[in-house]
Amino acid sequence: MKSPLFAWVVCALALASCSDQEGGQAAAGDSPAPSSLTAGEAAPMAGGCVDSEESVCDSQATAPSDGTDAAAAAAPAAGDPAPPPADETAYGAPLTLDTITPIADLVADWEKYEGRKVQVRGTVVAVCEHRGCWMDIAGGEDYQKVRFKVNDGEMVFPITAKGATATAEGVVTKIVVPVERLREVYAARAEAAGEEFDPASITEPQVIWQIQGTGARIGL
Amino acid sequence: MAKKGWRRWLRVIHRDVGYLCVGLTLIYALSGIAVNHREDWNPNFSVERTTWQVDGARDLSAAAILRATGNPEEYRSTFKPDPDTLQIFAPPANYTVDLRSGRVVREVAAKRPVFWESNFLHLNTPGRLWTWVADLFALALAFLAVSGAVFLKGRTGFAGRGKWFTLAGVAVPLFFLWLYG
Repeated sequence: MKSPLFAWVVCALALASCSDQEGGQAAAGDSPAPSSLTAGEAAPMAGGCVDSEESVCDSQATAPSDGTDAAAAAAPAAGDPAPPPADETAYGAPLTLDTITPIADLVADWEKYEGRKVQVRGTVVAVCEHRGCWMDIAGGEDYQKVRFKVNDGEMVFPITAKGATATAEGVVTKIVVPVERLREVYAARAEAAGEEFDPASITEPQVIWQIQGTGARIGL
Repeated sequence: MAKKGWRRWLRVIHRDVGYLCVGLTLIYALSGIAVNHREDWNPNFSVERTTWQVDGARDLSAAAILRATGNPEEYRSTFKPDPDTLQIFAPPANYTVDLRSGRVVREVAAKRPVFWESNFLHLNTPGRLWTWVADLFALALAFLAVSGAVFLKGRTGFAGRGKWFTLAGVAVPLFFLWLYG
């Protein structure tokens, strides 16, 4: 027995194929449509995943001096300013700024950029391993990196992006993590590592600077 | 007689739409479970890690460290997140070197077969025409839900025990909305 269903499906597909093809985030230059995850999303902790090993402590870059280092000196530095790769994947909203803010300038004076939209370019040195909801981008200098954070599901960065060049745009955001939350995170981390943790060792809130991302391009 | 014909046609359409939806339903179910547990794993990629011990790593160049691991790969760049850690990027691999202990970890991420493809479609990463296909699928599921509830008559139909099962099914999300909402 023949069902009219097949005629419906053919008609529907024909209509769909005639419509304007828009959205998507697969190719650079397309007008992207943000993906939406459907379930299991948890509120991010103060702008970072709880599962991230660096969510709390490492978002603000530091610049310690360790003297001569043969290994680093012999290698090309991460994130040397360079034109973006020809083959890029776009995430989120299209990039809108014409000027790239050096990561070194950001980490030297975060306050100056608070609330401002910036565009940075550099090497992806870390990616949220479970959710793909953040990536750390390094500039041309060791120890200098910025965290590029997006709301869960808006963009999902692949962990294969480590080592790739990213151009990313978003708003510089200051987050103050309260003492209680810090204690929870560090306690969980210590427990996972089988180490002792003294909650009294944390006495002050921690300030985290990050870029709340709106869009990015990654040259894989 | 007319009423009987209506139910019969609904049953036929329900059956054929159901066949059409088998593939996508399985894809969405698999991906749904996978992304529900993102706290526990990466549903798209698996990471293979290999570890070496390289003595005197702090005094070696990145190339020398790679040679010491038996992987003389050409690397793209390096980065030191802190004075005791060196990252070497040699896509698709990347290395993390603990300069104090000499422990070198090589990571290579690979797509999880089936899961990656399922998530790619479920999360509408391609967009474009796939958005319409996914919308049609969602409408088809709604049709299957409603038609499945009403095409049977009698004790096992909606007017019989069906309404209680339907109410129980609706109560589950309402309960969790009340609990967590």
